[in-house]
Amino acid sequence: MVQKLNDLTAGTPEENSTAHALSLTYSRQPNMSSLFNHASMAHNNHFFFEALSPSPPPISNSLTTQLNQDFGSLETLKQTMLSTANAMFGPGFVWLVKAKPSSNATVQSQEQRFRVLCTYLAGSPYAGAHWRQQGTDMNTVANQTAGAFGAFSVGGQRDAALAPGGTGVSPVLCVNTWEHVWLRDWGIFRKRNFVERWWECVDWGVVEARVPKTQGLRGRPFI
Amino acid sequence: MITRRLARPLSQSSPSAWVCPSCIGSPFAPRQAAASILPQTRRQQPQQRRSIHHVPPLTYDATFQQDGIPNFISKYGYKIAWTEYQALMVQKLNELTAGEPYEHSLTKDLAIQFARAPMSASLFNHASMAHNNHYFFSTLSTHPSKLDNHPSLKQSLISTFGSIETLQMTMLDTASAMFGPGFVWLIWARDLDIVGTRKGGWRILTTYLAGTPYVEAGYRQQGIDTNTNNASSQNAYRGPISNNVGYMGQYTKANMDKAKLPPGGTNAQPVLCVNTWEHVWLRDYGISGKRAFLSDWWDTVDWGAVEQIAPKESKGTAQFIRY
Repeated sequence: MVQKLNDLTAGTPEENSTAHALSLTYSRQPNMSSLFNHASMAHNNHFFFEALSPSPPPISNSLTTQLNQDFGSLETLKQTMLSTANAMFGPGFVWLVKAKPSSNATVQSQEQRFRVLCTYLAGSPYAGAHWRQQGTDMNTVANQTAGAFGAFSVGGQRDAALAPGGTGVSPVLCVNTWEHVWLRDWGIFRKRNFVERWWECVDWGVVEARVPKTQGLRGRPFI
Repeated sequence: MITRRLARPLSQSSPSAWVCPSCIGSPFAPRQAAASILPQTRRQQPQQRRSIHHVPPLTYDATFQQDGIPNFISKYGYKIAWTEYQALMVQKLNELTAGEPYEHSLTKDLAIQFARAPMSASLFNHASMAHNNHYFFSTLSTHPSKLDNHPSLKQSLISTFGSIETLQMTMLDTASAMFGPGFVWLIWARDLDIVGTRKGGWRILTTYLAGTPYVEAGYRQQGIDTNTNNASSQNAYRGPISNNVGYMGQYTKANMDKAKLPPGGTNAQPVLCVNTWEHVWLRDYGISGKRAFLSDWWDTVDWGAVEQIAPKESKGTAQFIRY
């Protein structure tokens, strides 16, 4: 990834940009798609490996509380992420993000919530690159809206016209389901087992550090 | 997330120990906490289901299992890419078709039938992938015949591509450029509206993931990376939308069913394909070896097998008719 990135950016003004910045810049340019793909993939892959640990400490109470608020239980979150990863036929990533719903949502739900998101291939979860979120398998869903939030939802598509980058997505965790990650150690039949085991290796300390400090409405009385 | 109707309960395939309370005690509750999904030889399913689909026999399977595909894939790589992967596709196919009226259908027919049904996306994917993978392996052999041994086929290809090197470079460059996994096909397209030449022409086609080259399933050809196209370029590529709506007019179900072939009516016969999924080349070539894999593939193609699949009119000499 890095080699291709160097090849593609050598001598250009961007040669010193971070992979993340490159993926945001080029998410709207199909003729720069190779650059986008490699930049986004490099960033996503790094994000995946940063949150792994050989002996992760147990998840903190505060993070557990936050996740329970949005998912009901950690088990539900786990099953959601794992089922999503298993259902994806092609390679990609499944993300846990903190996101604000679209701007036409009610006042109460303006605060950020945890969500699960999937991105195919080298798709990017960041709002600034939401034209390349690649959150649905476009071969089965096209020219339609999909999901309650994000680039393909009704609100998200409206937002895309109005306020690019406005929905504020902060990824905190992801799993990389490309074959080259699990083929050697798990074999072709055991993607499911790989994803299960990944869950046990997540370093929730790193995840918690990534959660943005919110100044949302949570805790305020209902008006 | 689109939810799919599953032919078997989810609990049966999940290795997790958690079972929903209403499933406990039912005949579908998992018998053991860590159910292995490794298939046992031919018996793909526990309990009462027969397996209709099975891994199709390859002519050279025995040799490939022992020695791999010479100068191309080792026996370990072959095991992953064919023996195991195809078994996985077949297993999923059996699960998804068990008890249904189409459980006996061939993979190609399943792919075409379900190309326009988003709710059956998983069935389409596995059927199409099984078919495509089989296609890829059936043009490989222990003693591949060189293209020079098939002059009429070679000449026909040169008429379209200018030279065999151009054909080779085009296919390999295309495959190399695809960021995600898929297939690159060489197809003979019949009945093109080209005045004055043979009744068809050679084309190169890409299909991402499990996309299918057959034109009757054109809605799932997946020939472009939809992530780098917008709505209008995609629409121009795909033609009519895949939903139906309304009681009358162009987009009703009745009318959409009529429009089985995209306008311009071609009929595609694939003759050759290369499978660029990572599990095919990762073991033998490593993560940066995709280009070397493609090169070696070209040298390993059995053009004798290709010639057998190629339709008769594709091998004739060009007949130029002037109007």
